[in-house]
Amino acid sequence: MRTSIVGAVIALLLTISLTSPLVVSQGLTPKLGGTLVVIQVGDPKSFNPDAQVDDMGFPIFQNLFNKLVTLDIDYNIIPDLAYKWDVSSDGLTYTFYLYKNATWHDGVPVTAWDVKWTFETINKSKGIAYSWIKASNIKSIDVIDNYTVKFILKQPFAAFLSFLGWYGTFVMPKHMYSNYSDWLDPKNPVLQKPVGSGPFKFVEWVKGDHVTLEANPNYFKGQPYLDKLVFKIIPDANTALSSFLAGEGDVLAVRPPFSEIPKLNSTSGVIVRSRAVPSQWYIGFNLLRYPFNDRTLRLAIAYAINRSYVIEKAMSGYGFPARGGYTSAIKWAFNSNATLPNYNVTLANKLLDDAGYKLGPDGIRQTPNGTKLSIKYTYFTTGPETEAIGVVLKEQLKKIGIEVTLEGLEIGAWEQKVVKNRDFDIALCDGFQGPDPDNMRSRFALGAYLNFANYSNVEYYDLLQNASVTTDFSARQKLYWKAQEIFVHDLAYIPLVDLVAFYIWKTEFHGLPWESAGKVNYNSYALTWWEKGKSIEPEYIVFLKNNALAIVIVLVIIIGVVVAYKVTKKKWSGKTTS
Amino acid sequence: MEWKDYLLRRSAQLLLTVFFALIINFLIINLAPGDPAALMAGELATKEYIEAVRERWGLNKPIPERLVSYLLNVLQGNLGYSYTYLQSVSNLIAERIPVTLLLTLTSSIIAFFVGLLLAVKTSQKAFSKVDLFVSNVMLTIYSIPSFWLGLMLIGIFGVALRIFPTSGMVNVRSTGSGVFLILDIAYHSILPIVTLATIQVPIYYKIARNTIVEQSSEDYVSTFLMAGMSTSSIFKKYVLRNSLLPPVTVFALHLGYVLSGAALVEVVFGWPGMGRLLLSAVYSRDYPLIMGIYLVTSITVSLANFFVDILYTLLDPRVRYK
Amino acid sequence: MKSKLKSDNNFFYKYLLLWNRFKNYKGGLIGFYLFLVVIFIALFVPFLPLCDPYSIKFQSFLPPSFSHPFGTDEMGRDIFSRVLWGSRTSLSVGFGAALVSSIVGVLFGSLAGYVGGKLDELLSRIIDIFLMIPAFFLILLIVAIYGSSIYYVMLVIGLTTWPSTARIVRAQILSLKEREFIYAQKVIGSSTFRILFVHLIPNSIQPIFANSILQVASAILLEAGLSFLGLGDPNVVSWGKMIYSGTSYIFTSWWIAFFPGIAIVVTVASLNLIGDALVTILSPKTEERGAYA
Repeated sequence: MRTSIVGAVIALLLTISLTSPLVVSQGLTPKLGGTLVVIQVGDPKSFNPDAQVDDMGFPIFQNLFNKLVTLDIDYNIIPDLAYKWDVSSDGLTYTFYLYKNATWHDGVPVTAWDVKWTFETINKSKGIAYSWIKASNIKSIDVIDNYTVKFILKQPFAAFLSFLGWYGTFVMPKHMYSNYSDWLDPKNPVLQKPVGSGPFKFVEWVKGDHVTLEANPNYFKGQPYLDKLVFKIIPDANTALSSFLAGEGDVLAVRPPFSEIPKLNSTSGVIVRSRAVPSQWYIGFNLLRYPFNDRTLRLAIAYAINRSYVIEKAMSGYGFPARGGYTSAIKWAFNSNATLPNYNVTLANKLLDDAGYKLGPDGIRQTPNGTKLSIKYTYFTTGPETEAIGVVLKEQLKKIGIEVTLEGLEIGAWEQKVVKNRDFDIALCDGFQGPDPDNMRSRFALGAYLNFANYSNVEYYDLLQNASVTTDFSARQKLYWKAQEIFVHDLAYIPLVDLVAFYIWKTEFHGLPWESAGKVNYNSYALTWWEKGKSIEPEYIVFLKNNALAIVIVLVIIIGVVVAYKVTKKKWSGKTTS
Repeated sequence: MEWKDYLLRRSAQLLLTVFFALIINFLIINLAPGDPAALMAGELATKEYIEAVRERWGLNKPIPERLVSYLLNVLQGNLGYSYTYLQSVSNLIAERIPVTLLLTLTSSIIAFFVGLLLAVKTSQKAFSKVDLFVSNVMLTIYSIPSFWLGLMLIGIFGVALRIFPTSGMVNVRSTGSGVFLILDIAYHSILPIVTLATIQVPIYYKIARNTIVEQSSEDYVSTFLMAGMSTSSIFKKYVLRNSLLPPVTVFALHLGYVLSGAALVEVVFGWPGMGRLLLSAVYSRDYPLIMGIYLVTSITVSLANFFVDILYTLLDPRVRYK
Repeated sequence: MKSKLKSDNNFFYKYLLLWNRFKNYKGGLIGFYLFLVVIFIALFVPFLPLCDPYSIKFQSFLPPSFSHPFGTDEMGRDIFSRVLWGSRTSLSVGFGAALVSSIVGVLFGSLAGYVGGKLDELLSRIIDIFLMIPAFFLILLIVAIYGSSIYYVMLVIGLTTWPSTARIVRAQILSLKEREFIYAQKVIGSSTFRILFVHLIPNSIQPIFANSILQVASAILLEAGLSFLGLGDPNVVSWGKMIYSGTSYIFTSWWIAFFPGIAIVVTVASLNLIGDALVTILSPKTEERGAYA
């Protein structure tokens, strides 16, 4: 009986030990080595990261260069080149303390002089960050010592740190540009072969095909796990998708057509994650043109649009109906009480009837002036969804007696017609509205270049101006909330969709920027590692670690068996001798 | 003497044509709506930043002044700098030319031989059932849009059967160079070349067939027949040789379009060639790049026409110098 | 004053003869009947029992079935009805472009051919310049920048393809103007205008017509190409645009790009078959049976 009990226990322990690899975690320790291939949609224009708008270069710059502070995937401000910073209580002085061991890829140390030179050059040569740097009213940039730099402003600018971490503010190597008066001088080799301070350094650029970077072993925050980082250029979204599916890339940085997302999701070895981004599709009315200056008409149109249906039809359901006067992705600034009108066709029709927009025999209304309510919807042809949104709007507005014709222009012509010449009826636009609600000033406020609707509400403008210089957080929040209430009342612009971004990658890679909140900027692969790489520790130690529990159980069994044997033997021998 | 005069006149014609084409292109492009400065300035643009961009690229000067300086530059061989790629236009074009040439030259050569062979095989008996059938099939093939054919081939061979890659020129992971690179490119080029060749075969078939039929009804053929020569030797010795000239001239003319003809196929298969370069240049209003591409394609077309004319005067004794 | 010459009154007689010869070309006949089907569809499509081609109320990406013979597209529109309605767009662009091309080509070509001399040289130079410019690129540029309404596309295609018509017209006029009946007209004092528009051009109609048919075919292909690049008019149903939208979904919903392509092939092939047969009939050299047959 005893042996059978012992036997049963042994069998049980053996079973546990054999299945323990399933019980113990797989050991999510980073491995070394491997190449990550990111598929994107175009070439960088050059490797000067601050001189011109370069959406294709930006993800590459984020791995080649550093900023003073940077934004992570949640748009929170995290340290980059500066490990610490102080803001004076009056909001006028920002002091940044730089890492002392940061070097450029050619070995020269990164100092506060590089920082000063960078921002002065952005100002002088009108780099992309010029607009908001001017808005910050910087009085001076002072080098305190080689690793400490002070920015002194003339008046407080609440969004200063956010913009500093965002765009066009990479710290550039002064010594590589000192011989050229023009920082975009094509003769400067560093425009084609960059020297940065980031976790990866430049290897080669084959135009139209790829950009290759390799790990920087001297990176001041530690060498990255990957050996190489390749940005593969495939300008066509469909081709990019098929390349990715064929295994020619590891990260798909091009958003595929919405209908392909479920298919990607169910492909083995591929993960798809989505996140709300502070970006919206919105339509704007030409307020300088009759009858769009009539708020009742705009209100009726807002009631007639079923935003969920638009998303379902035009974007395969990927997106959230816009709810208010700002993107809901920046939670602290979003006022959930300032809501847009809900879908209500009956009410829309009633409003128009009461306002004197008579229904004609062909089902199309006329304005009180007698002109047919036939509206042109002007969009840019960057992707299929802009036209698709128009097709849905066309059908929805038909139900309240408004006829819509579509006018698709390529982006340059659209900008000319809508933004510059303000020659349109309704136009569709999108755009990033972060990282700070101060962005609203450049889109919707009086005098802004992008305010194509000619929205001229002075109270709205004043609220935004005040919020820009208010340093007290809750006071700022209240100002932005009030601004949104005015925005959804006036309806010069009607936001339609809160956008969603997709992250698509192969499961064999971990530590991607969207999984590393608080640690790296939102395009950085400094912490990314490959499952099939070499372990950092020798193999046998890894083996021991992974199977620790199993090994312990096996040892326990062996000891238990030996002890049990010895004990029973004693008992037996004891019995025979007695 | 007469010939030299003709050559001189024809060359002058060539230069004049290219010159005018260039001016017309410049006007169309520069008078177009769409401000490249605003485009380059991007989303967060303020008026001042846009003006700064405009000044940097010299876009604030009046059009006639820009035209003159552009022409002067071209004469010196300087095609300008691309706004969007920040490189000299001639570099950019030089990079893309081999890609497009690979597709168009190879497919033209293949189409030439396939078309010619097919015509030789089937049109000896003019208007026979086989001849008519093949003719009509060729016409139908000629009616297929190249981009749709490419798409269908991708669907069948790239997706369903998974035999060929669906896009791109090379496999990004291949670190190979030399032979391996060449093989990789060749592998990726099969579907696009097949697409282009298929669409062009009917052209060569038609010209070859028409010439053969035309030649067959010439007097000398009936004379030889009466003299007792066999049909096959008449064909081989005389008709065939006389029928080669038109297809060759068509081929030479097509060479003129060798840089622009593959644009749609390049888009479908994602190859970085001239067609795609032009499309992206148009969308970003990159004036120097657009004009550079037009210049190069106009020159090749004019040159091809020029050589064909000269070739004809040399080879065909019936043609007289105008 | 109506001409009393038999050659002019033989208008209908000529066409009857043509039809008799045409009937012998099987390919041309097939093309002709196919084209009749296409025209019929284009004309009577509003009366056919079809779904609204613009309505997005159906479910997207439905494969071909009994209720949707060609399936539905990415926005939930019925593809069968869109393919049939698209014939209107393609045919109008084709005929519109060919019309513009023909009018301009006839004008330039006849002037060059008839007047001759310096004018001829100048016009021939202009024709050459136009032929040097890669037409597709030019059309692409103009439409991308200036706009993509359907009328505009027709105009642009017509204005870039007239040189080939002009050349044919010029050659015809050159050969005709030495003929006796023209000489006779000159002798009796007919004005240049009369000679050109009453005698020369109508007698050149046949090769112009044959060439125009081929131009309609190539205009349809050009428009499809433009729409495929995303430059088509979004307010009409266009086969090229349908293929453009269907490109993204070729992996899963192949029917979106497949059926419009078939429609293009059928329509363009029918025109090419007709045109080719006509061209063969009208060029004496290729029409005669070879010595081998």
